Amino acid sequence: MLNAFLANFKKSWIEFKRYYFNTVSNLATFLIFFYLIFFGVKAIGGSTVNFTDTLEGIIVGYFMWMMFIFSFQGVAWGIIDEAQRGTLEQVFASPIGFEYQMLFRMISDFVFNVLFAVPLMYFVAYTTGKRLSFDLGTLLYLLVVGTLSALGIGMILGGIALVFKRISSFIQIVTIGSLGFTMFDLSKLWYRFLPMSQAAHLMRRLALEGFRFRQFTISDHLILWLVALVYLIAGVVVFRGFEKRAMTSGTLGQY
Amino acid sequence: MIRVKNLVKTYPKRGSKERLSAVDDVSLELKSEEIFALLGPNGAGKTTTIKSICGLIVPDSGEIEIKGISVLKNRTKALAHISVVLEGNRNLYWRMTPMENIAYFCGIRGKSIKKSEAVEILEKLGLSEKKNELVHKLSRGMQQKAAIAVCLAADTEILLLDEPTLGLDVNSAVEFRTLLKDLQRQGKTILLSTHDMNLVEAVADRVAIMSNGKIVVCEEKRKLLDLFKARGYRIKLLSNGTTGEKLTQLGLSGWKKDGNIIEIHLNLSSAKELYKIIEDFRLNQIEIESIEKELVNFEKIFISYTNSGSP
Repeated sequence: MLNAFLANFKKSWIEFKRYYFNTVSNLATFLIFFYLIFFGVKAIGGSTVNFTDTLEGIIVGYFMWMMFIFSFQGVAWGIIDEAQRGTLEQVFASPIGFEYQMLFRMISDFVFNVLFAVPLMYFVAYTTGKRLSFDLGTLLYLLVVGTLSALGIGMILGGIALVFKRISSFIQIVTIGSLGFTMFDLSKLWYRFLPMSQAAHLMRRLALEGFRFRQFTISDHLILWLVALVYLIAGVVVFRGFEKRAMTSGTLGQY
Repeated sequence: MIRVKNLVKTYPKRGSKERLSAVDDVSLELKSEEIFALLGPNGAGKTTTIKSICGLIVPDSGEIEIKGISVLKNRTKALAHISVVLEGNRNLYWRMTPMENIAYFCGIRGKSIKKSEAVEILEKLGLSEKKNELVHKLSRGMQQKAAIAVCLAADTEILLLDEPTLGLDVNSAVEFRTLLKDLQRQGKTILLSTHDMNLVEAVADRVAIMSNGKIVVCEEKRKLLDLFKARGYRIKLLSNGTTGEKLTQLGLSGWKKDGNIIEIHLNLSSAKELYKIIEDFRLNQIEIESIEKELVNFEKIFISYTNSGSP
């Protein structure tokens, strides 16, 4: 298993380097998109718009969303890409299950995404005149656990991609819809059980109220972990169902 | 090593409730350290059989075992004993080098490989100079060699090779035959699916010919060749004006006339038949110029079986 993880980690790194233009473009797009929203609202609203109190929350929420979509899109695009390249069947022919390979890739991509996203987040805060002063350890904890549910969503999308292959429009819909999950005001309990909602909620408290890991209640942690694990397990189960369907219909390697 | 029993795979026909048969009741067994060739025209079911063996296709019914482990019940455990080169140039990551591909595919099998071992494999295949080139920059033949290198690096007891010589030039194809024999000597069991009759003649121990999803013959290569050698005859007759008519009366067709010589090819089921025909010629006063046993190659055997389903 360790060798499989290291192989996937190394491959992710090689692809980050080989497809550096794509990597840089992705990050630049997110940065530009953020500035467009930030300066756009300021330009329209003029001096009546006061971001001072909420800007940290917006920055953190935005980067949470970015990590979320990078994670689930990574799995789905990964499968589509492999099907197009034709390497999907070779990976499936490995004695270590495909869902493990996907999981290792997601973890690898997550590490690289964090390495890029966190400095970028501080850069955005700096350029918008804000200083992020929250606890980085707590932020990483929330990112890791919060992203687990994104991985589950990614596995579901990956499974759909295995059978239907061309699902880019559907991925776009989920991407836009996911923005809502990170923006929900958790006034009702069930909102917390949406993917990423609880993590985003705790992250806002971290950013705005300076909360730390120990200051969250036990129920906050429990819901966070419960949501993460339920979506991850559901993702694996649904993925296996689609995987079996693709193998039965013989469409695994087709695109 | 591999046992396939009553394998059936069908696919739904587009816009109809009917199902198309890809593999129809296929059974075969690979012995340890043998090279087994699956021959057949396009659409015969070879690739479906290979993909079923390596767990990429779930069959409708049947059993597949690799070293006694059921592929259908315990897929990942069974897959630990095999490595596969699938048809086409889609086995590798094109934006990675052969060395990186070897390291990656070994890794995802849970194995690590030393650089020196990977280089040694690439050297065997004449690819060591290209070890750090991106795969998409290699020629089609080199890409195929790199795919074979990845398969060998997995160091499994069983190799499944679907059209492995596709895209290889003549020299590389000859080298590849030597490599397969070397691998067999090292104790590997090899299942080949190929159109390359020269490869089959040179390396296979046993051959199964597939047509329309069925195995029409499964036999030791030597026996098949001997069988056909015994049957194929080219007989030259002296023509005296009525010879053609007499041959037609004897029920023999397909002869060619060249000057005063008539040439006829006969496929006989036994030597006794040959004696009977000679006797018929004698009784009809047809003079025999010569009788030659025909040289048989796998192309002839293949065409004979796939055209009619029987020789």
